[in-house]
Amino acid sequence: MSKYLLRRLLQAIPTFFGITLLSYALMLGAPGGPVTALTFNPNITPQEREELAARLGVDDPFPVQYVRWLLGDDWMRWDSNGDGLADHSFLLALDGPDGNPLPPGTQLGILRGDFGDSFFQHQPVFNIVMGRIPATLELGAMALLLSIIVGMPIGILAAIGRGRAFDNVTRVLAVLINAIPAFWLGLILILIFGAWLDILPMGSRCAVTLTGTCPPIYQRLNYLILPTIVLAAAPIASYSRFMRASMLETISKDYIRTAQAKGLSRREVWFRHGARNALIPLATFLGPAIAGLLGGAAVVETIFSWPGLGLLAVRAVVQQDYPIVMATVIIAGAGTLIGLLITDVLYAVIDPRIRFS
Amino acid sequence: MKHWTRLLAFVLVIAVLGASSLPLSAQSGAGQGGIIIDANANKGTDVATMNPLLNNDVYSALITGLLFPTLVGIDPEKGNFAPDARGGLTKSWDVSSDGLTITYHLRDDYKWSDGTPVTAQDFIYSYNAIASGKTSSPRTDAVDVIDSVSSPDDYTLVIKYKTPACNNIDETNEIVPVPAHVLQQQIGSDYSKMDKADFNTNPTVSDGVFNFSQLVPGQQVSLQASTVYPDTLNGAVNPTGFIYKNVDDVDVALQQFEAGDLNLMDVFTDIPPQNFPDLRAKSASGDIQTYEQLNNGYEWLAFNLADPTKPIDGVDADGKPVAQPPHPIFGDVRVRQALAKAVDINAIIQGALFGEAVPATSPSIATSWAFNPDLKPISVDLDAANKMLTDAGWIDDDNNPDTPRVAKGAKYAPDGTKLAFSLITSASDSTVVAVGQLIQDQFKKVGAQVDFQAIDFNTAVQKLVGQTFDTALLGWSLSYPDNPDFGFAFNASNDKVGGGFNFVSYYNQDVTDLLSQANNLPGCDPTGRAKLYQQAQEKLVADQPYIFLYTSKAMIAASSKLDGFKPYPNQLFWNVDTWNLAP
Repeated sequence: MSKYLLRRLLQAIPTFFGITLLSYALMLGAPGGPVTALTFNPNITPQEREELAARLGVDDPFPVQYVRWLLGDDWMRWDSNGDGLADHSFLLALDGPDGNPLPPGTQLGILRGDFGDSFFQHQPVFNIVMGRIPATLELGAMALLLSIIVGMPIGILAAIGRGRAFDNVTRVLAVLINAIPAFWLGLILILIFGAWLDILPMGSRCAVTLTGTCPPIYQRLNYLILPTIVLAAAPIASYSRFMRASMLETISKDYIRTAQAKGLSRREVWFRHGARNALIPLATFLGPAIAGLLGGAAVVETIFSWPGLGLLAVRAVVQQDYPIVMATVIIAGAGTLIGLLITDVLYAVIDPRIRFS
Repeated sequence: MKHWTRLLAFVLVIAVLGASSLPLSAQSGAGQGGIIIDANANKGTDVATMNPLLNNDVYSALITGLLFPTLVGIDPEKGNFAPDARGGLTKSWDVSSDGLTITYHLRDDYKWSDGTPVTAQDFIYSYNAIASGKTSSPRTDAVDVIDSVSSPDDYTLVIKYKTPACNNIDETNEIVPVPAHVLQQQIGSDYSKMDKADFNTNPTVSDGVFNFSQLVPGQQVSLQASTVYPDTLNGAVNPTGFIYKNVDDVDVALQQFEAGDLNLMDVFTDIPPQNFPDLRAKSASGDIQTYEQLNNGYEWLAFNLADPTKPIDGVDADGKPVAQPPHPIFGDVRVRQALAKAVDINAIIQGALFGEAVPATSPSIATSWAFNPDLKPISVDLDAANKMLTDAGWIDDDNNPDTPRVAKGAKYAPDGTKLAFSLITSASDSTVVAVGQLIQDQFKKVGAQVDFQAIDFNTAVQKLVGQTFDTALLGWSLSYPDNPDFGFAFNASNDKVGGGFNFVSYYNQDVTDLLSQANNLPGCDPTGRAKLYQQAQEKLVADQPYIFLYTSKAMIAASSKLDGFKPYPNQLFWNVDTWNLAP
């Protein structure tokens, strides 16, 4: 298994760089740019705008920008005599638009662990992103858990009672929930449980205090309930319908009839033989679901003021804050690749017939 | 099945735990005067920096305003700079006879929160940092007007300016003193390190009403009452603290405000105008408090006067105006004036802004000291508009209102050219998008076909400054205290392709001269300056490079429990040290 995992991880490397290259090209290809947003100010002169673009490096050609993001620029423009100004350069201009030498490059590039600094917040992107990951993981994990533990039993029970009331009701509900936009559902739940009934918080990750620190998760589960429900609503509907279909397909198999013929109890036939085998195709869902939850979290995080990564990513895209956009692309890309790997592993765990090879 | 039962039990436990620990509300009464909890509606973005030299957005500016007093204070009632005004470090200033030198006499009772006195050296450090050009400070214009800065003693600042401009104090006030002794420790005099200084996100030393407490990414910035702030009205800062809580959706913010999770929604929360009547009713019944003011800015429809296919700068290398190739439609002032008469501004205000705006008449808003009361809002007159377009050579050749007029003897457009053009705006502002749709309909009534494009803000700005647009719909925010100089958008020197804000390529030497005279009037008498600005406004409006549309109203909402909430226009926090949250 370890050989298999290693091989899959090695295969993921070129895929990962392909994702970053494509994302970078799409990002730079978008109209506008960060300098426009940063300098829409009558007090900033066109020359200062050019200097800012040179300082941020956003006026360099695409390949140079990508290589700098990947490998840094400390080897592209450097100071050999220690006067604080660059005196040698490779690929980059030595002087700024005003004709004065630019400072030496200080970026190390992502391959050396440097994600750069946010154009707008002037802080290391690594710190910004790391500050948001716990909240997103917390919400994403809860939503995934909820969608599985609610969605799958509903699917199984609907399959068992095919054509009966429960099946019909859940089918209608699944269509309805899938059709409800997350932002609307979020606002309605806030209105009902937060404003009218006043039994659940209307947003944030924890209570507001001057120190701003959040207690351990078990002391603030009430803050997770509404965003988790909204984030999990669509997956619950999808999983339940998928599980139902998979279950119906499974129970028509010969080995189920054999199990019934052996005289096993209905519960054992349905859950031990039926549900377990019906789970196999569902495992395909789980890998991409990790990245999917990150995307869905952007809306939910906005409605519930949840301090997570999705919201940060959306805002960075709008502002064209390239370093943050790329950091979130890396996380989403890595999350998807790892998710797919988990899917493969899950197949083997669920179905003994599947072997790593 | 046992596993499922356990899992379902876990879910139930979560629900029970959730229901049993109810949300804390605004913690009123947690300290002496309670904690003010204001909504930061900056769409999920944290306060970018708390360094007052680097901030570039209103949300960061709100926090730095509470942490760091400016050099000169503002009289909140009059909205102008005043000697010894609260929240300013200067007790008086002298202007030399030639107007080139201003000597600021600083107060000696201001201290940084670590006990170090605030002195002229702190201002000089700020000045040097911006002047170095090694920071990302957007306040370089403030140092560009200064020739030299010196300090004969710790509490005297002598600033020599390059010109005797009347707005020199406005510019200088952009340079906010920072604790030099703290930044010296962090970055020394290497200002290139300022952008990444720890101080920017952890300003442990400040001299304002509040001191920094904590920045929690994605959640909040919290401040606590200063114990050394000398400018209190009642001897001490009364509120326990101030929390700027990220609430990324304004509808949710309103719900949280009404539930008591927030006790303040400042002007930057942008309460939608459709919510004003409801909030007014609640205010009238005493459930909440509200304050309304005109936004400090105006919305406009800009005509590109020059050919968008051949954009060129407005001045040559010697600074002399360059004749612009005219826009085939809008190069003719009669067309611009005719289209202005087709705009029904009252219908727009009612339809898109729920009546919560006032018509604009010029680049000066009604609350400005340079406002020209003789200029009247545009009034719709379709007959006059139709006649003017016909006179200008734009003919309705088929009497079909669904087809655009065509040029026949127009000033710049070849015969047969259709009266069709694009109108761009930012898609991120739904109100302005609605305004654009109404204008599209209104222009159609006089035979002008508009291709309305609500696009990404950055793209819209790129088209604007690139001067490749036909017409555009956006707005300007004005400075505070009021600086009525509108030359940034209408002087030929600011007509620079790719960067200048005179993207309409407007040029009128009379307007430029009047603005220059008003900006540099000897003695800076406000009455005399106002007259000059008003004359410039009249000439500008007659040339109609913009249709000045409206100034929207803004609402601030506060809890009914918040005592001391008495804002002035653009001065919400002038007496924040006295605020008290009743339990």
